[in-house]
Amino acid sequence: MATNVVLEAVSEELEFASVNRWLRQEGDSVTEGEALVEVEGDKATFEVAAPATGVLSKILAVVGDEVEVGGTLAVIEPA
Amino acid sequence: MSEQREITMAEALNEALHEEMAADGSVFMIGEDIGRTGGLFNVSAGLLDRFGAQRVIDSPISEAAISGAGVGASLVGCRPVVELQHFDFVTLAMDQIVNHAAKWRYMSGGRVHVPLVVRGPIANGVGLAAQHSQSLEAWFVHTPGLVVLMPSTPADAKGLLKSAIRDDNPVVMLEKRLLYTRPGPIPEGDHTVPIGVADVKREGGDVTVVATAYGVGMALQAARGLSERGIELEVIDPRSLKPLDLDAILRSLEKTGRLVVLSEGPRTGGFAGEVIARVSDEAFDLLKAPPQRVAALDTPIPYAAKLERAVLPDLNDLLDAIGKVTGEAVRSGS
Amino acid sequence: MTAATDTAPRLGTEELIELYSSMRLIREFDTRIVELFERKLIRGSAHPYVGMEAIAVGICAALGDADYITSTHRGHGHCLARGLDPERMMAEILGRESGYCRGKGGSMHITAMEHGMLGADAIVGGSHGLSVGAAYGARLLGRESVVACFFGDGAANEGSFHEACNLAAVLDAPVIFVCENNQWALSTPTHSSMRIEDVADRAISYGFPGVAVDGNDVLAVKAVADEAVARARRGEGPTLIEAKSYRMTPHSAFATGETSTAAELEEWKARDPLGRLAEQLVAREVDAAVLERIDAAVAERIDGAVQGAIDAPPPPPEQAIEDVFAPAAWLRPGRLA
Repeated sequence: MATNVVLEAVSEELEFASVNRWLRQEGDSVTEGEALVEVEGDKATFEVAAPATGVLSKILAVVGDEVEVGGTLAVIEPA
Repeated sequence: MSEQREITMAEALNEALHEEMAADGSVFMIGEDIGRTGGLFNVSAGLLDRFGAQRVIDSPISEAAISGAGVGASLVGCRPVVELQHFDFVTLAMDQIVNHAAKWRYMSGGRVHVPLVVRGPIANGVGLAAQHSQSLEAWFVHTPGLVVLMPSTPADAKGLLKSAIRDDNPVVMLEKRLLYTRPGPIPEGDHTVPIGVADVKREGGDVTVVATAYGVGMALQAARGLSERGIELEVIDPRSLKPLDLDAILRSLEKTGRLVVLSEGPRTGGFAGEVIARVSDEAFDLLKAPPQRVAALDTPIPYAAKLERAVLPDLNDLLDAIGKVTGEAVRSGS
Repeated sequence: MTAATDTAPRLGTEELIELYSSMRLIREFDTRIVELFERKLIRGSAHPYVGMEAIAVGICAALGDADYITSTHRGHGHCLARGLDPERMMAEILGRESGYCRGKGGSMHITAMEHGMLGADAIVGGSHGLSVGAAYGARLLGRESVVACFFGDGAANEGSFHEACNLAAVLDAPVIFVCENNQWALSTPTHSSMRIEDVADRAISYGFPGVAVDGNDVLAVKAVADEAVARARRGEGPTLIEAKSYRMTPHSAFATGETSTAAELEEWKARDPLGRLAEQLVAREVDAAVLERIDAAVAERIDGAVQGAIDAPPPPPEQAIEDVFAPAAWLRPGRLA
């Protein structure tokens, strides 16, 4: 079953972040916990980790996109 | 197809400086904290070690003196690059930029020229509050005699800075700090971007969106979403606010007839209004709907995140404006 | 204050006569400018240098061809001392196309790079930073040039002065700051704008020497200028010269509200720089007739310059949109934005 990579609030006030750099590409095998993407919030840059192991099947938010907290950055499919 | 190298905008500006300083011994840099630490945002990393303290000057906190010194040095044959640590500090340098750099050639009847570059970051969106967050491009567009540039990508940043340094006119280049860490592809070799030439960042037939710097990414994001609903945006990045490539905008309007202009400075007296006025001057007949500008509210930039977001233009503001020129409900959930 | 007598023996009589001639040219030029303003042939305003001639001439006598000066709204004396043509200057001041700036600058913006004249500045204090950069930049490019930055006592209170002094010191820039203290900033006497007696005293707070000199003694001015130029060329950095003088006319041809007294004017008339140099020449047994011939030749030359300027055509209106930008690939005729 596919798992969404969701932008979570790293602090209470975070509402949006913009995608700075994808550290892995579509089609890559990824492991739960590894850093997938670097995003820039208003106070700091931080990384979002893979919530599951599998294949990074679809990147939904490309470099430059602004995403709301709770929004989906990418999808991971089982290998 | 070979993949282009990807670097961040700060790295791209850094490459431009390295290359131009290596090619031309008359190019030097002056600014606060640019040498020993390579700049607050690493834009000048490695320059001091490579070119020495005579050409990479860590100045005292003296914006008026260093910008004046830039004017003077350019008159005797140098090509100085003056960095303002945050663009807001330009207020302390305004006499030298507006009353001197912009006017020296004209007042002399064309006998001298001022090949000066003044550049620095617009640091809005990160909670630095009102005196460190301004987008002041309109002041310089409004000053005769200046070239005004705003890059949106690393490739454009590198190319524009190289062109700016080589140009014999005084250039003001405003960079968005939040774009400094965003990577993008960069062509190899001596990559320059011509001044006065806009870039169509995305083609489309329904709405022309003219956007500067950070707004370009926002417009592209909007375009992806709207494309799924059958609305195709054409995104035009002027790159040079002055001289403005109005022809590129008019060519686009011949296709779309619908104009939205996005700029991060305050709405009143801002760049977006200027673009719309020029389109109205030259090609009012092309317009099928009243043009829309998307800009910041006419307030100083507040500190708290929710307040700052309320003031600065965001994706929803852009979508609302597109909705107005198309007559469609374009915001998701609306 | 530096005495003049030390230096007089070092200069030949011919050189002294040249200094006299140069000062006479300035005196005649700016006296005529006031008349032309009253005849409404000059727009805006004009700021005469009458009484201050020894400063410009003394400083410029210490400079070489590869050196530079910056100047002010009261700049005709600096230009003439540096060798600019009175004819082209007059044409510029009357707004003619044949003027140094093609009629675009006027009295306060005369520029002539071929004489190392970086441009006169109408912003009080506007050229402090510019001078530092020009000095630094010239040295970066391998030249031995120094820059003399002229400014008034009023400008010594602008922030730009303080920033530029500090920057010049930090950069060891080969710049000579020349403060022409003529005791007045328009209607405000110098002593009510600062708590110190000598502007020269400010230099030490930035880390370089400051020297006050009798600005109406051209030889004294040249002597301190020689020293400052030598220091700068040796790489020892800036010097501040404060030349004490007096302007014998109101602030500008347009000025109102002057409050200098008749007594003050009389006192300074007795110290007229031209008169004092003439005395020294007479003491060297130069015939008074020699000086009279110089005076007459200068008057004739200025007559010619005035008439030439009056007869010359103004620039055509189409030129208003030229010279905004230097040539560039993106520049099209008439493209201003």
